[in-house]
Amino acid sequence: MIQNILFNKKPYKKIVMKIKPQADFNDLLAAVSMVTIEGRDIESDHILYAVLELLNNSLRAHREKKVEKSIHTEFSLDDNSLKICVQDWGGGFDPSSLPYNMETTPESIDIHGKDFQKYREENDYKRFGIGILVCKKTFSRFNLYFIDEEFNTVTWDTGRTAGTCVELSLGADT
Amino acid sequence: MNQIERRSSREKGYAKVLFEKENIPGYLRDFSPKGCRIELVESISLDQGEKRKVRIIPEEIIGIGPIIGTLEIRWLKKENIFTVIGSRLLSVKDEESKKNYKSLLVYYSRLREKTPQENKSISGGGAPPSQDSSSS
Repeated sequence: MIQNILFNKKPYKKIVMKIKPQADFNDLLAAVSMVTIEGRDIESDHILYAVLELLNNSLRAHREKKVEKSIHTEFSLDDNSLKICVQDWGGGFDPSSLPYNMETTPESIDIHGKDFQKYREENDYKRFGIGILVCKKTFSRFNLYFIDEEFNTVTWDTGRTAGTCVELSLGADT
Repeated sequence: MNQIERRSSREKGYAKVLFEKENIPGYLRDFSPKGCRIELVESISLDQGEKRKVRIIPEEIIGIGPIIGTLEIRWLKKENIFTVIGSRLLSVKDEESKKNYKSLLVYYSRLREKTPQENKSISGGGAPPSQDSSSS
């Protein structure tokens, strides 16, 4: 059960962050470190580090594609349920480029498998391919979808996909 | 010195770590010359005092290269989905790793100096518990 979300030690029902693509990663780490999730059963840091995985992916995508729009991040508390949304304009990504099938349950994914090893080698060990997996393991609900420029939900299409939305939640019963 | 006091003096970090022998990936969570905290997403069999070769990979966007070195394991515990390891970097492989190690310590040390008011590239707002919605 999540009891409070705090920013700089003050309680809020909703916290919104707009992150510019040129943000220093230390600024991002400092801002996210000011958020505290109070509740049982899960460490606040684990929640925030999972969110940082997503934000790091988003920042990298914005910079690679030279997108100036901000990344929108929202933490909200509703009926003891924590909801987090990260939405970017980084152009999305091809789900088939990941070393696992995103539809597979995280428990059945072997991160020692040859697909992960190949992924790490191909990316010169700069990417491990486990960020989304960590989110799926950390949160009770994980929903990822792509959007076009008009904010319509679209399937992955390199010419049409403008961004990615990830919705995470930890329910009152977790 | 208890653990809370010790951790408060370390620099909060965010880098990837690979235990090369076991091929297990994880994350560096805090970092100083005296010690570091690592979280792995898989279980690992390690004893206190064991040494392991690791590759520490700072995030691409901060522009610091990898550090290859040897860690000494101090303690290990299970926390949520993570295996948490307290350790210390005993040595680094070469001059390049040494240079990257120093750069990473400097980079993380800047985090302590950050305040919300200074943070011009991140803006936002919040709604207190008594309100139903917010604008930023």
